[in-house]
Amino acid sequence: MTDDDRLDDYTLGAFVDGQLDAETRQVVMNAMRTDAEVRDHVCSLWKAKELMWLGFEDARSARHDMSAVISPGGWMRYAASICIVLILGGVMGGYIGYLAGHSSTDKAAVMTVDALEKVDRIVLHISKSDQAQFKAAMDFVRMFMHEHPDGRGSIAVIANAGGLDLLRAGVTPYEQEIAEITSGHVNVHFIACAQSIRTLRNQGIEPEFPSTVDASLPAFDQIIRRVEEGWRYISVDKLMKIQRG
Amino acid sequence: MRIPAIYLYPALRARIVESRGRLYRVALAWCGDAMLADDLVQDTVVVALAKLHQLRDPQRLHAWMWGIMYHKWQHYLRDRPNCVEIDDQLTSEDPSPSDRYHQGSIVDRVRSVVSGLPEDQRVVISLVDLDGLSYCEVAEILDVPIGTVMSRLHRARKRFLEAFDRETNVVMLRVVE
Repeated sequence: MTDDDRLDDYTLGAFVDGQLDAETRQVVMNAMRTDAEVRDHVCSLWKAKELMWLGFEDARSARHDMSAVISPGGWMRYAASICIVLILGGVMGGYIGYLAGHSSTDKAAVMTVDALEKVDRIVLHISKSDQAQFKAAMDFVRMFMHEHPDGRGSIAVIANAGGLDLLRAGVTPYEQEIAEITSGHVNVHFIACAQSIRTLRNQGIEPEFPSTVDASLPAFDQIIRRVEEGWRYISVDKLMKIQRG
Repeated sequence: MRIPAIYLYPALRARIVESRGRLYRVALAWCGDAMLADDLVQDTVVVALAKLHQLRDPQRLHAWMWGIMYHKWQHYLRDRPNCVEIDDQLTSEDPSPSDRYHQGSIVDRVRSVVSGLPEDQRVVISLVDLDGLSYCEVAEILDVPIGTVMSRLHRARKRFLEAFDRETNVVMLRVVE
């Protein structure tokens, strides 16, 4: 079977759904690097997945009184420990990881030690200029550092498009903190997408970043390289969905 | 040795109730109607609680519940009066003024497009994209081959993207106007 034979529509669909074996997944990832058509197709499939989620993520039942179906016996206490298992799709790799956690009043507790122990090399992708997303990203980074005081794990915050604002000097409210984190923790990386920077420059905007921010490559390449190395991909969008439960 | 489900009842019951959010999200995608989705979820939860003793493998709780909800949904489609087969319907290319107004948000547009998908495609894309089920799990729930799941999913996404882009263009035209 040639590589081309494998890259039919169904295969690419299975790729974004994380349903492929490692070998075929690698074939797709290689093709994405060299074949714009494959890359575009995968992106369109991912777009469909993201839109689907976007369309229903906030769907909530207006009917809160489900007590009629709950038998007595005190087991409602279990409802206080809602188990969240949310499939996280990788935007480029179709890699799927999951975080499991227990909801509580402290939303940060979603990122449990258990989850982080399983996923100790993380690509955190942010693409929107949104203060809530910035906070979620930075909370996650702090949590990660807290859970990995020995510096064994690694986290790369990769920002593109509007997400660049998280890293831009004079724009981000976290400028000083980012500089302090990167100077004190070798396992935490903040990366700005070179392509998005070029786009801003074409618009007459000259973005500035703390010197510790890596802005050498497009986000696509940064993500692909790490995912190939076994890093787990998490978008801040998905992270916030997990936090909301 | 497998632990009999009866010993896990309290935890399983809790998981059933906690699944309402997940069930509702997909039910809404299937029905396109909040009240109906509520009914579907509630019926599913009631049946799951009542028939919990029939669950052989607690690890399969969610797949089992999806199966219950799917069959409930199929019963509803069969039994409802003046049933309209939507499989052959295309998403409207000429929305009403009211529809156009509601097409303003992405959420509304996505839901509108999903409601226009054929039922078999809508079910599959919802289970895969909203609940993250594997192809095998979906095939088992729907009792169809995996190849069928893949083909339905492929057609669903193709149709979804085409319709979404079409609706987006309508909205953009309206804004320009």
